[in-house]
Amino acid sequence: MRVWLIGADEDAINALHQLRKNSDIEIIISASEETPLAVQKGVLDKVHFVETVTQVNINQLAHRVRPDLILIDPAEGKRSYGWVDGGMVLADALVHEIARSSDYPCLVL
Amino acid sequence: MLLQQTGQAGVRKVFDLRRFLYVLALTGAVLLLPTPVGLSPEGHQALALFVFTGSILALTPAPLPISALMVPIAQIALGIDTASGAFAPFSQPVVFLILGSLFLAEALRKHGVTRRLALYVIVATRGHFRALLFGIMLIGGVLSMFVLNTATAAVLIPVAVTIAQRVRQREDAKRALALLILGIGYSASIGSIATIVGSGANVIAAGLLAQVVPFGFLDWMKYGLPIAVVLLPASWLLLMQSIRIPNISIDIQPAIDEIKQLGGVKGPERETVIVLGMAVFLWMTGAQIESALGLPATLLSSAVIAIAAVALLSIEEIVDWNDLRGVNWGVLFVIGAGLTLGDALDKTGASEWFAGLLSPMLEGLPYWLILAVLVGGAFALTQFMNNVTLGAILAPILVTLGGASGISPERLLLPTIIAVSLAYMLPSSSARMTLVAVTGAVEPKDMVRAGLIVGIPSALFIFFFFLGLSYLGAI
Repeated sequence: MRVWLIGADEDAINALHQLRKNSDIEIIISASEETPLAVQKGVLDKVHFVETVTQVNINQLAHRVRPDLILIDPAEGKRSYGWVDGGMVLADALVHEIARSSDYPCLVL
Repeated sequence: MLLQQTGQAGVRKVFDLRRFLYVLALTGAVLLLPTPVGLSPEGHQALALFVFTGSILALTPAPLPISALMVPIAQIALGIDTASGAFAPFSQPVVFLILGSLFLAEALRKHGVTRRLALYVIVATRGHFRALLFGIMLIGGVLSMFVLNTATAAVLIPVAVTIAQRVRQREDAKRALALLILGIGYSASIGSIATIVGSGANVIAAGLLAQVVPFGFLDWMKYGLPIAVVLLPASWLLLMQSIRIPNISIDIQPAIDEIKQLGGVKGPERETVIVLGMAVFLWMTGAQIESALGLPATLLSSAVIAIAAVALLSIEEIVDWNDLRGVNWGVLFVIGAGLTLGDALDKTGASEWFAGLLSPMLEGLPYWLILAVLVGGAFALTQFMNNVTLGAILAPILVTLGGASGISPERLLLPTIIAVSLAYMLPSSSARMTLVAVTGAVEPKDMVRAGLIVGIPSALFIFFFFLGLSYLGAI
Protein backbone atom coordinates (compact mmCIF):
# COMPACT_ATOMS: atom_id res chain seq x y z
CA MET A 1 0.00 0.00 0.00
CA ARG A 2 1.28 3.44 -0.87
CA VAL A 3 0.49 6.39 1.40
CA TRP A 4 1.24 9.97 0.47
CA LEU A 5 1.82 12.09 3.57
CA ILE A 6 1.40 15.80 2.85
CA GLY A 7 3.21 17.89 5.41
CA ALA A 8 5.79 16.77 7.93
CA ASP A 9 4.85 18.53 11.13
CA GLU A 10 3.64 17.21 14.50
CA ASP A 11 0.65 15.24 13.29
CA ALA A 12 2.64 13.80 10.41
CA ILE A 13 5.37 12.66 12.82
CA ASN A 14 2.78 10.78 14.86
CA ALA A 15 1.32 9.26 11.70
CA LEU A 16 4.78 8.23 10.52
CA HIS A 17 5.49 6.39 13.74
CA GLN A 18 2.28 4.39 13.27
CA LEU A 19 2.64 3.77 9.53
CA ARG A 20 6.19 2.48 9.97
CA LYS A 21 4.88 -0.40 12.07
CA ASN A 22 3.75 -2.04 8.83
CA SER A 23 6.67 -2.63 6.48
CA ASP A 24 4.25 -3.27 3.60
CA ILE A 25 3.23 0.39 3.64
CA GLU A 26 5.27 2.58 1.32
CA ILE A 27 5.26 6.18 2.55
CA ILE A 28 5.85 9.14 0.23
CA ILE A 29 6.33 12.40 2.11
CA SER A 30 6.06 15.92 0.76
CA ALA A 31 6.29 19.27 2.50
CA SER A 32 6.34 22.92 1.52
CA GLU A 33 9.91 23.34 2.78
CA GLU A 34 13.18 21.39 2.66
CA THR A 35 13.50 21.00 6.42
CA PRO A 36 10.10 20.57 8.04
CA LEU A 37 9.75 19.62 11.67
CA ALA A 38 10.14 15.90 11.00
CA VAL A 39 13.54 16.52 9.39
CA GLN A 40 14.58 18.93 12.12
CA LYS A 41 13.73 16.35 14.76
CA GLY A 42 15.58 13.59 12.94
CA VAL A 43 12.47 11.53 12.25
CA LEU A 44 13.25 11.88 8.53
CA ASP A 45 16.47 12.47 6.63
CA LYS A 46 14.61 14.43 3.96
CA VAL A 47 11.24 14.64 2.28
CA HIS A 48 10.63 12.98 -1.07
CA PHE A 49 9.67 16.25 -2.73
CA VAL A 50 9.11 19.88 -1.82
CA GLU A 51 5.79 21.29 -3.00
CA THR A 52 2.95 23.34 -1.54
CA VAL A 53 -0.17 21.29 -2.09
CA THR A 54 -3.43 23.15 -2.68
CA GLN A 55 -6.82 22.39 -4.20
CA VAL A 56 -5.38 23.43 -7.54
CA ASN A 57 -2.49 20.98 -7.82
CA ILE A 58 -3.33 18.03 -5.55
CA ASN A 59 -4.67 15.83 -8.32
CA GLN A 60 -1.87 16.67 -10.72
CA LEU A 61 0.64 15.67 -8.04
CA ALA A 62 -1.39 12.64 -6.96
CA HIS A 63 -1.41 11.31 -10.53
CA ARG A 64 2.39 11.26 -10.32
CA VAL A 65 2.55 9.75 -6.83
CA ARG A 66 -0.31 7.29 -7.37
CA PRO A 67 -1.16 6.83 -3.69
CA ASP A 68 -3.71 4.43 -2.28
CA LEU A 69 -4.35 6.92 0.50
CA ILE A 70 -3.44 10.55 1.13
CA LEU A 71 -2.97 11.94 4.64
CA ILE A 72 -2.71 15.69 5.20
CA ASP A 73 -0.99 17.26 8.18
CA PRO A 74 -2.91 20.50 8.86
CA ALA A 75 -0.17 22.05 10.99
CA GLU A 76 1.44 23.96 8.14
CA GLY A 77 -1.69 25.90 7.31
CA LYS A 78 -2.29 26.65 10.95
CA ARG A 79 1.21 28.07 11.25
CA SER A 80 0.72 30.26 8.22
CA TYR A 81 -2.74 31.56 9.04
CA GLY A 82 -3.22 30.77 12.70
CA TRP A 83 -1.84 34.07 13.92
CA VAL A 84 -4.71 36.07 12.45
CA ASP A 85 -8.18 36.37 13.92
CA GLY A 86 -10.22 33.57 12.31
CA GLY A 87 -7.05 32.10 10.81
CA MET A 88 -7.39 28.72 12.48
CA VAL A 89 -10.88 28.32 11.05
CA LEU A 90 -9.59 29.39 7.63
CA ALA A 91 -6.64 26.97 7.81
CA ASP A 92 -8.90 24.13 8.84
CA ALA A 93 -11.46 24.92 6.15
CA LEU A 94 -8.73 25.18 3.48
CA VAL A 95 -7.20 21.83 4.30
CA HIS A 96 -10.60 20.11 4.29
CA GLU A 97 -11.32 21.72 0.95
CA ILE A 98 -8.06 20.25 -0.36
CA ALA A 99 -9.21 16.83 0.84
CA ARG A 100 -12.56 17.25 -0.91
CA SER A 101 -10.83 18.27 -4.15
CA SER A 102 -8.77 15.11 -4.21
CA ASP A 103 -9.68 12.33 -6.63
CA TYR A 104 -7.92 9.90 -4.29
CA PRO A 105 -8.96 8.85 -0.78
CA CYS A 106 -7.78 11.65 1.44
CA LEU A 107 -7.94 12.20 5.18
CA VAL A 108 -6.93 15.14 7.35
CA LEU A 109 -4.87 14.09 10.38
CA MET B 1 -1.01 29.21 -7.65
CA LEU B 2 -4.37 30.86 -7.02
CA LEU B 3 -3.54 31.15 -3.36
CA GLN B 4 -0.17 32.38 -2.21
CA GLN B 5 2.02 29.67 -0.84
CA THR B 6 1.96 28.94 2.83
CA GLY B 7 4.90 30.59 4.44
CA GLN B 8 4.63 33.63 2.18
CA ALA B 9 1.60 34.69 4.20
CA GLY B 10 4.10 35.89 6.79
CA VAL B 11 4.46 34.75 10.38
CA ARG B 12 4.51 37.56 12.90
CA LYS B 13 6.75 37.83 15.91
CA VAL B 14 4.76 36.81 18.97
CA PHE B 15 5.90 39.78 21.06
CA ASP B 16 7.29 43.09 19.83
CA LEU B 17 9.11 44.75 22.71
CA ARG B 18 9.64 48.02 20.88
CA ARG B 19 5.92 48.48 20.30
CA PHE B 20 5.19 47.61 23.91
CA LEU B 21 7.66 50.25 25.06
CA TYR B 22 5.86 52.80 22.84
CA VAL B 23 2.63 51.88 24.60
CA LEU B 24 4.21 52.29 28.01
CA ALA B 25 5.81 55.57 26.96
CA LEU B 26 2.51 57.03 25.75
CA THR B 27 0.76 55.90 28.92
CA GLY B 28 3.54 57.25 31.09
CA ALA B 29 3.45 60.58 29.28
CA VAL B 30 -0.23 60.98 30.14
CA LEU B 31 0.41 60.09 33.77
CA LEU B 32 3.23 62.63 34.02
CA LEU B 33 1.06 65.46 32.74
CA PRO B 34 -0.62 67.57 35.42
CA THR B 35 -4.16 66.43 36.20
CA PRO B 36 -6.48 68.48 33.97
CA VAL B 37 -8.79 70.96 35.63
CA GLY B 38 -12.11 69.40 36.54
CA LEU B 39 -10.78 65.85 36.44
CA SER B 40 -10.23 63.76 39.56
CA PRO B 41 -6.92 61.92 40.14
CA GLU B 42 -8.81 58.65 39.45
CA GLY B 43 -10.11 60.14 36.24
CA HIS B 44 -6.55 61.09 35.27
CA GLN B 45 -5.55 57.46 35.74
CA ALA B 46 -8.50 56.40 33.63
CA LEU B 47 -7.28 58.77 30.90
CA ALA B 48 -3.95 56.97 31.04
CA LEU B 49 -5.85 53.67 30.74
CA PHE B 50 -7.67 55.08 27.72
CA VAL B 51 -4.36 55.90 26.06
CA PHE B 52 -2.95 52.50 27.08
CA THR B 53 -5.95 50.67 25.63
CA GLY B 54 -6.01 52.63 22.39
CA SER B 55 -2.30 52.27 21.81
CA ILE B 56 -1.96 48.62 22.78
CA LEU B 57 -4.91 47.55 20.65
CA ALA B 58 -3.69 49.65 17.74
CA LEU B 59 0.01 48.77 17.93
CA THR B 60 -0.59 45.14 19.06
CA PRO B 61 2.84 44.38 20.50
CA ALA B 62 1.38 40.96 21.26
CA PRO B 63 -1.42 39.13 19.41
CA LEU B 64 -4.62 41.13 19.73
CA PRO B 65 -6.31 38.90 22.35
CA ILE B 66 -3.24 38.99 24.59
CA SER B 67 -2.97 42.76 24.14
CA ALA B 68 -6.61 43.01 25.14
CA LEU B 69 -6.02 40.97 28.30
CA MET B 70 -3.42 43.52 29.37
CA VAL B 71 -6.11 46.19 29.67
CA PRO B 72 -7.61 44.96 32.97
CA ILE B 73 -4.08 44.38 34.24
CA ALA B 74 -3.24 47.98 33.42
CA GLN B 75 -6.43 49.06 35.17
CA ILE B 76 -5.29 47.31 38.32
CA ALA B 77 -1.72 48.60 37.98
CA LEU B 78 -3.01 52.16 37.64
CA GLY B 79 -4.97 51.75 40.85
CA ILE B 80 -8.33 52.33 39.18
CA ASP B 81 -9.83 49.09 40.43
CA THR B 82 -9.07 45.76 42.04
CA ALA B 83 -8.96 42.46 40.19
CA SER B 84 -12.60 41.60 40.80
CA GLY B 85 -13.72 44.97 39.45
CA ALA B 86 -11.33 45.03 36.51
CA PHE B 87 -12.31 41.59 35.25
CA ALA B 88 -16.04 41.92 36.01
CA PRO B 89 -16.94 43.37 32.57
CA PHE B 90 -15.64 40.18 30.95
CA SER B 91 -18.64 38.42 32.43
CA GLN B 92 -21.24 40.75 30.95
CA PRO B 93 -24.10 38.99 29.16
CA VAL B 94 -23.04 40.34 25.77
CA VAL B 95 -19.75 38.44 26.07
CA PHE B 96 -21.71 35.21 26.47
CA LEU B 97 -23.90 36.20 23.56
CA ILE B 98 -20.84 36.33 21.33
CA LEU B 99 -19.53 33.10 22.85
CA GLY B 100 -22.77 31.38 21.90
CA SER B 101 -22.55 32.88 18.42
CA LEU B 102 -19.01 31.52 17.98
CA PHE B 103 -20.13 28.03 18.97
CA LEU B 104 -23.08 28.19 16.59
CA ALA B 105 -20.68 29.20 13.81
CA GLU B 106 -18.52 26.19 14.65
CA ALA B 107 -21.55 23.87 14.48
CA LEU B 108 -22.46 25.30 11.06
CA ARG B 109 -18.91 24.76 9.86
CA LYS B 110 -18.53 21.26 11.31
CA HIS B 111 -21.69 19.94 9.70
CA GLY B 112 -21.05 21.61 6.39
CA VAL B 113 -24.13 23.83 6.41
CA THR B 114 -22.26 26.85 5.06
CA ARG B 115 -20.64 24.78 2.33
CA ARG B 116 -23.92 23.16 1.34
CA LEU B 117 -25.49 26.60 0.94
CA ALA B 118 -22.61 27.61 -1.32
CA LEU B 119 -23.15 24.47 -3.45
CA TYR B 120 -26.84 25.29 -3.79
CA VAL B 121 -25.91 28.78 -4.96
CA ILE B 122 -23.54 27.41 -7.59
CA VAL B 123 -26.26 25.13 -8.97
CA ALA B 124 -29.09 27.67 -8.70
CA THR B 125 -27.13 30.31 -10.61
CA ARG B 126 -26.14 27.72 -13.24
CA GLY B 127 -22.59 28.90 -12.73
CA HIS B 128 -23.14 32.38 -14.22
CA PHE B 129 -20.46 34.33 -12.44
CA ARG B 130 -22.29 37.59 -11.67
CA ALA B 131 -25.23 35.76 -10.12
CA LEU B 132 -22.87 33.35 -8.37
CA LEU B 133 -20.97 36.26 -6.82
CA PHE B 134 -24.22 37.72 -5.52
CA GLY B 135 -25.31 34.36 -4.18
CA ILE B 136 -22.08 33.86 -2.26
CA MET B 137 -22.34 37.39 -0.90
CA LEU B 138 -25.91 36.71 0.15
CA ILE B 139 -24.85 33.64 2.12
CA GLY B 140 -22.02 35.59 3.75
CA GLY B 141 -24.32 38.47 4.59
CA VAL B 142 -27.21 36.45 6.00
CA LEU B 143 -25.04 34.14 8.10
CA SER B 144 -22.99 37.07 9.41
CA MET B 145 -26.16 38.59 10.81
CA PHE B 146 -26.43 35.78 13.33
CA VAL B 147 -22.98 34.30 13.77
CA LEU B 148 -19.74 36.21 14.10
CA ASN B 149 -18.74 37.58 10.72
CA THR B 150 -15.10 36.47 10.76
CA ALA B 151 -16.05 32.82 11.23
CA THR B 152 -18.42 33.06 8.26
CA ALA B 153 -15.74 34.56 6.04
CA ALA B 154 -13.16 31.96 7.10
CA VAL B 155 -15.44 29.10 6.03
CA LEU B 156 -16.52 30.64 2.72
CA ILE B 157 -13.06 31.61 1.45
CA PRO B 158 -11.97 28.01 0.68
CA VAL B 159 -15.23 27.51 -1.21
CA ALA B 160 -14.32 30.55 -3.31
CA VAL B 161 -10.95 28.96 -4.09
CA THR B 162 -12.65 25.75 -5.24
CA ILE B 163 -15.05 27.74 -7.46
CA ALA B 164 -12.23 29.77 -9.00
CA GLN B 165 -10.11 26.71 -9.75
CA ARG B 166 -12.82 25.55 -12.19
CA VAL B 167 -12.16 28.60 -14.38
CA ARG B 168 -9.91 27.55 -17.21
CA GLN B 169 -8.12 30.78 -18.10
CA ARG B 170 -5.60 31.65 -15.41
CA GLU B 171 -6.13 35.42 -15.57
CA ASP B 172 -9.90 35.00 -15.40
CA ALA B 173 -9.50 32.60 -12.49
CA LYS B 174 -7.41 35.14 -10.57
CA ARG B 175 -9.97 37.90 -11.17
CA ALA B 176 -12.83 35.61 -10.25
CA LEU B 177 -11.12 34.59 -7.04
CA ALA B 178 -10.33 38.20 -6.12
CA LEU B 179 -13.95 39.20 -6.66
CA LEU B 180 -15.29 36.26 -4.69
CA ILE B 181 -12.95 36.77 -1.76
CA LEU B 182 -13.57 40.53 -1.63
CA GLY B 183 -17.28 39.86 -1.92
CA ILE B 184 -17.11 37.46 1.01
CA GLY B 185 -15.18 40.00 3.10
CA TYR B 186 -17.59 42.82 2.32
CA SER B 187 -20.76 40.75 2.75
CA ALA B 188 -19.56 39.41 6.10
CA SER B 189 -19.03 43.01 7.25
CA ILE B 190 -22.38 44.16 5.85
CA GLY B 191 -24.31 41.28 7.39
CA SER B 192 -22.71 42.04 10.74
CA ILE B 193 -24.34 45.48 10.70
CA ALA B 194 -27.80 43.94 10.99
CA THR B 195 -27.65 42.55 14.53
CA ILE B 196 -25.77 42.89 17.79
CA VAL B 197 -24.12 39.48 17.41
CA GLY B 198 -22.63 40.27 14.01
CA SER B 199 -19.53 42.02 15.26
CA GLY B 200 -17.52 42.66 18.40
CA ALA B 201 -17.87 46.42 17.95
CA ASN B 202 -21.69 46.07 17.95
CA VAL B 203 -21.53 44.04 21.14
CA ILE B 204 -19.44 46.64 22.93
CA ALA B 205 -21.68 49.48 21.76
CA ALA B 206 -24.90 47.66 22.66
CA GLY B 207 -23.51 46.64 26.03
CA LEU B 208 -22.64 50.23 26.95
CA LEU B 209 -25.83 51.65 25.47
CA ALA B 210 -27.95 49.22 27.45
CA GLN B 211 -26.51 50.69 30.64
CA VAL B 212 -28.05 54.09 29.92
CA VAL B 213 -31.19 53.34 27.88
CA PRO B 214 -33.26 50.18 27.32
CA PHE B 215 -31.60 48.65 24.27
CA GLY B 216 -31.98 45.07 23.09
CA PHE B 217 -31.61 42.78 20.09
CA LEU B 218 -34.58 44.18 18.17
CA ASP B 219 -33.65 47.78 18.94
CA TRP B 220 -30.39 47.31 17.05
CA MET B 221 -32.04 45.36 14.22
CA LYS B 222 -34.49 48.09 13.36
CA TYR B 223 -31.57 50.30 12.36
CA GLY B 224 -29.05 47.71 11.24
CA LEU B 225 -31.23 45.41 9.13
CA PRO B 226 -32.51 48.01 6.62
CA ILE B 227 -28.95 49.25 6.13
CA ALA B 228 -27.64 45.73 5.54
CA VAL B 229 -30.49 44.92 3.13
CA VAL B 230 -29.63 47.95 0.99
CA LEU B 231 -25.86 47.74 1.20
CA LEU B 232 -25.58 44.08 0.19
CA PRO B 233 -26.87 44.37 -3.41
CA ALA B 234 -25.38 47.84 -3.72
CA SER B 235 -21.95 46.56 -2.75
CA TRP B 236 -22.28 43.69 -5.23
CA LEU B 237 -22.95 46.17 -8.03
CA LEU B 238 -20.12 48.47 -6.94
CA LEU B 239 -17.66 45.57 -6.54
CA MET B 240 -18.24 44.55 -10.14
CA GLN B 241 -17.26 48.08 -11.17
CA SER B 242 -14.01 47.93 -9.26
CA ILE B 243 -12.51 44.78 -10.82
CA ARG B 244 -13.20 43.81 -14.42
CA ILE B 245 -15.47 40.87 -14.16
CA PRO B 246 -14.59 37.90 -16.32
CA ASN B 247 -17.29 36.73 -18.67
CA ILE B 248 -17.34 33.17 -17.50
CA SER B 249 -19.57 30.37 -16.43
CA ILE B 250 -18.49 27.85 -13.85
CA ASP B 251 -18.96 24.16 -14.51
CA ILE B 252 -21.69 23.21 -12.05
CA GLN B 253 -21.49 19.44 -12.50
CA PRO B 254 -19.05 18.93 -9.58
CA ALA B 255 -21.43 20.88 -7.34
CA ILE B 256 -24.40 18.79 -8.52
CA ASP B 257 -22.42 15.61 -7.89
CA GLU B 258 -21.42 16.74 -4.44
CA ILE B 259 -24.99 17.68 -3.50
CA LYS B 260 -26.14 14.22 -4.64
CA GLN B 261 -23.39 12.69 -2.54
CA LEU B 262 -24.39 14.76 0.49
CA GLY B 263 -28.01 13.74 0.15
CA GLY B 264 -30.78 15.63 1.91
CA VAL B 265 -30.38 17.83 4.94
CA LYS B 266 -30.68 15.41 7.79
CA GLY B 267 -29.27 14.41 11.13
CA PRO B 268 -26.84 16.87 12.78
CA GLU B 269 -26.97 19.25 9.81
CA ARG B 270 -30.73 19.61 10.10
CA GLU B 271 -30.63 19.92 13.87
CA THR B 272 -28.00 22.64 13.65
CA VAL B 273 -30.17 24.64 11.27
CA ILE B 274 -33.24 24.15 13.48
CA VAL B 275 -31.39 25.24 16.62
CA LEU B 276 -29.99 28.30 14.87
CA GLY B 277 -33.45 29.16 13.56
CA MET B 278 -34.93 28.84 17.04
CA ALA B 279 -32.18 31.00 18.50
CA VAL B 280 -32.79 33.72 15.91
CA PHE B 281 -36.55 33.60 16.54
CA LEU B 282 -36.08 33.88 20.30
CA TRP B 283 -33.47 36.62 19.96
CA MET B 284 -36.08 38.67 18.17
CA THR B 285 -39.08 37.78 20.31
CA GLY B 286 -37.64 36.71 23.65
CA ALA B 287 -38.44 39.90 25.52
CA GLN B 288 -42.07 39.85 24.36
CA ILE B 289 -42.54 36.16 25.20
CA GLU B 290 -40.97 36.77 28.60
CA SER B 291 -43.43 39.49 29.54
CA ALA B 292 -46.42 37.70 27.96
CA LEU B 293 -45.78 34.55 29.96
CA GLY B 294 -44.65 36.31 33.11
CA LEU B 295 -41.30 34.54 33.04
CA PRO B 296 -38.41 35.64 35.29
CA ALA B 297 -36.69 38.74 33.94
CA THR B 298 -33.95 38.08 31.37
CA LEU B 299 -34.70 34.35 31.20
CA LEU B 300 -35.11 34.80 27.46
CA SER B 301 -32.42 37.46 27.05
CA SER B 302 -30.11 37.15 24.05
CA ALA B 303 -27.17 35.77 25.99
CA VAL B 304 -29.23 33.11 27.74
CA ILE B 305 -30.73 32.00 24.43
CA ALA B 306 -27.29 31.79 22.83
CA ILE B 307 -25.88 29.64 25.64
CA ALA B 308 -29.02 27.50 25.74
CA ALA B 309 -28.65 26.87 22.01
CA VAL B 310 -25.07 25.72 22.52
CA ALA B 311 -26.11 23.53 25.44
CA LEU B 312 -28.78 21.93 23.28
CA LEU B 313 -26.29 21.27 20.48
CA SER B 314 -23.94 19.71 23.00
CA ILE B 315 -26.65 17.51 24.57
CA GLU B 316 -27.63 16.33 21.10
CA GLU B 317 -23.91 15.60 20.50
CA ILE B 318 -23.92 17.89 17.49
CA VAL B 319 -20.88 19.67 18.88
CA ASP B 320 -18.51 18.55 21.56
CA TRP B 321 -15.74 20.16 23.54
CA ASN B 322 -13.08 19.19 20.99
CA ASP B 323 -14.93 21.17 18.33
CA LEU B 324 -15.17 24.19 20.57
CA ARG B 325 -11.42 24.30 21.15
CA GLY B 326 -10.94 25.71 17.66
CA VAL B 327 -13.33 28.59 18.26
CA ASN B 328 -11.91 32.10 18.10
CA TRP B 329 -11.82 32.84 21.83
CA GLY B 330 -9.64 35.89 21.30
CA VAL B 331 -12.49 38.12 20.17
CA LEU B 332 -14.07 37.70 23.62
CA PHE B 333 -11.00 39.23 25.24
CA VAL B 334 -11.10 42.22 22.88
CA ILE B 335 -14.77 42.78 23.68
CA GLY B 336 -14.05 42.42 27.38
CA ALA B 337 -11.27 45.00 27.09
CA GLY B 338 -13.64 47.47 25.47
CA LEU B 339 -16.23 46.99 28.17
CA THR B 340 -13.55 47.26 30.88
CA LEU B 341 -12.37 50.56 29.46
CA GLY B 342 -15.91 51.88 29.32
CA ASP B 343 -16.50 50.84 32.89
CA ALA B 344 -13.29 52.49 34.10
CA LEU B 345 -13.99 55.75 32.29
CA ASP B 346 -17.49 55.81 33.69
CA LYS B 347 -16.80 55.08 37.35
CA THR B 348 -13.85 57.47 37.62
CA GLY B 349 -15.75 60.35 36.02
CA ALA B 350 -13.32 60.52 33.10
CA SER B 351 -16.04 60.04 30.50
CA GLU B 352 -18.09 62.83 32.06
CA TRP B 353 -15.04 65.06 31.93
CA PHE B 354 -14.52 64.14 28.24
CA ALA B 355 -18.16 64.87 27.58
CA GLY B 356 -17.89 68.17 29.43
CA LEU B 357 -14.97 69.15 27.21
CA LEU B 358 -16.60 68.12 23.98
CA SER B 359 -20.27 68.92 24.49
CA PRO B 360 -19.88 72.73 24.32
CA MET B 361 -18.43 72.18 20.84
CA LEU B 362 -21.63 70.42 19.85
CA GLU B 363 -23.94 73.18 21.08
CA GLY B 364 -25.73 74.83 18.24
CA LEU B 365 -24.27 72.51 15.66
CA PRO B 366 -26.81 70.99 13.30
CA TYR B 367 -27.17 67.22 13.61
CA TRP B 368 -26.24 66.71 9.96
CA LEU B 369 -22.82 68.20 10.59
CA ILE B 370 -22.24 66.12 13.71
CA LEU B 371 -23.39 63.03 11.79
CA ALA B 372 -21.08 63.80 8.88
CA VAL B 373 -18.08 64.14 11.20
CA LEU B 374 -18.94 60.92 13.05
CA VAL B 375 -19.64 58.77 10.00
CA GLY B 376 -16.81 60.24 7.95
CA GLY B 377 -14.38 60.03 10.83
CA ALA B 378 -15.37 56.45 11.69
CA PHE B 379 -15.09 55.38 8.04
CA ALA B 380 -11.63 56.92 7.72
CA LEU B 381 -10.29 55.60 11.01
CA THR B 382 -11.62 52.07 10.54
CA GLN B 383 -9.49 51.62 7.43
CA PHE B 384 -6.38 51.86 9.58
CA MET B 385 -7.50 50.41 12.89
CA ASN B 386 -9.18 47.13 13.65
CA ASN B 387 -12.91 47.83 13.78
CA VAL B 388 -13.48 46.12 17.13
CA THR B 389 -10.62 48.12 18.63
CA LEU B 390 -12.08 51.33 17.27
CA GLY B 391 -15.49 50.45 18.64
CA ALA B 392 -13.94 49.77 22.03
CA ILE B 393 -12.35 53.22 22.05
CA LEU B 394 -15.19 55.31 20.62
CA ALA B 395 -18.23 53.70 22.24
CA PRO B 396 -17.62 54.78 25.86
CA ILE B 397 -16.96 58.37 24.84
CA LEU B 398 -19.96 58.66 22.57
CA VAL B 399 -22.37 57.14 25.10
CA THR B 400 -21.34 59.68 27.71
CA LEU B 401 -21.17 62.53 25.22
CA GLY B 402 -24.73 61.78 24.28
CA GLY B 403 -25.90 62.18 27.83
CA ALA B 404 -23.93 65.36 28.43
CA SER B 405 -24.81 67.12 25.20
CA GLY B 406 -28.55 66.43 25.26
CA ILE B 407 -28.30 64.40 22.05
CA SER B 408 -29.56 60.87 22.60
CA PRO B 409 -26.67 58.39 22.77
CA GLU B 410 -28.17 56.29 19.96
CA ARG B 411 -27.97 59.22 17.54
CA LEU B 412 -24.25 59.49 18.14
CA LEU B 413 -23.26 55.87 18.72
CA LEU B 414 -25.24 53.86 16.19
CA PRO B 415 -24.18 55.63 12.97
CA THR B 416 -20.59 55.66 14.19
CA ILE B 417 -20.40 51.98 15.09
CA ILE B 418 -22.22 50.97 11.92
CA ALA B 419 -19.80 53.04 9.84
CA VAL B 420 -16.93 51.31 11.65
CA SER B 421 -18.05 48.07 9.95
CA LEU B 422 -17.10 49.47 6.54
CA ALA B 423 -13.51 48.39 7.08
CA TYR B 424 -12.58 47.42 3.53
CA MET B 425 -9.34 48.92 2.36
CA LEU B 426 -6.44 47.52 4.35
CA PRO B 427 -5.56 44.23 6.06
CA SER B 428 -5.49 46.05 9.38
CA SER B 429 -9.06 47.29 8.92
CA SER B 430 -10.77 44.19 10.17
CA ALA B 431 -10.27 40.49 10.76
CA ARG B 432 -12.14 39.78 7.51
CA MET B 433 -9.75 41.93 5.49
CA THR B 434 -6.81 40.30 7.26
CA LEU B 435 -8.09 36.91 6.10
CA VAL B 436 -8.57 38.31 2.58
CA ALA B 437 -5.01 39.62 2.62
CA VAL B 438 -3.32 36.45 3.93
CA THR B 439 -4.82 34.39 1.11
CA GLY B 440 -2.78 36.49 -1.29
CA ALA B 441 -5.62 36.37 -3.81
CA VAL B 442 -6.19 40.14 -3.85
CA GLU B 443 -3.50 42.63 -4.80
CA PRO B 444 -3.11 45.35 -2.17
CA LYS B 445 -3.87 48.08 -4.73
CA ASP B 446 -7.06 46.26 -5.74
CA MET B 447 -8.06 45.99 -2.09
CA VAL B 448 -7.64 49.74 -1.62
CA ARG B 449 -9.36 50.67 -4.88
CA ALA B 450 -12.29 48.31 -4.39
CA GLY B 451 -12.54 49.40 -0.76
CA LEU B 452 -12.91 53.03 -1.83
CA ILE B 453 -15.37 52.31 -4.63
CA VAL B 454 -17.59 50.20 -2.38
CA GLY B 455 -16.93 51.91 0.94
CA ILE B 456 -17.50 55.59 0.20
CA PRO B 457 -21.02 55.22 -1.24
CA SER B 458 -21.82 52.88 1.65
CA ALA B 459 -20.72 55.51 4.18
CA LEU B 460 -22.81 58.11 2.36
CA PHE B 461 -25.82 55.83 2.54
CA ILE B 462 -25.38 55.41 6.29
CA PHE B 463 -25.15 59.19 6.65
CA PHE B 464 -28.35 59.82 4.68
CA PHE B 465 -30.14 56.93 6.39
CA PHE B 466 -29.64 58.35 9.86
CA LEU B 467 -30.24 61.89 8.65
CA GLY B 468 -33.53 60.76 7.20
CA LEU B 469 -34.49 59.00 10.42
CA SER B 470 -33.61 62.18 12.30
CA TYR B 471 -35.93 64.29 10.12
CA LEU B 472 -38.69 61.74 10.65
CA GLY B 473 -38.12 61.82 14.41
CA ALA B 474 -37.37 58.10 14.38
CA ILE B 475 -34.06 58.46 16.19
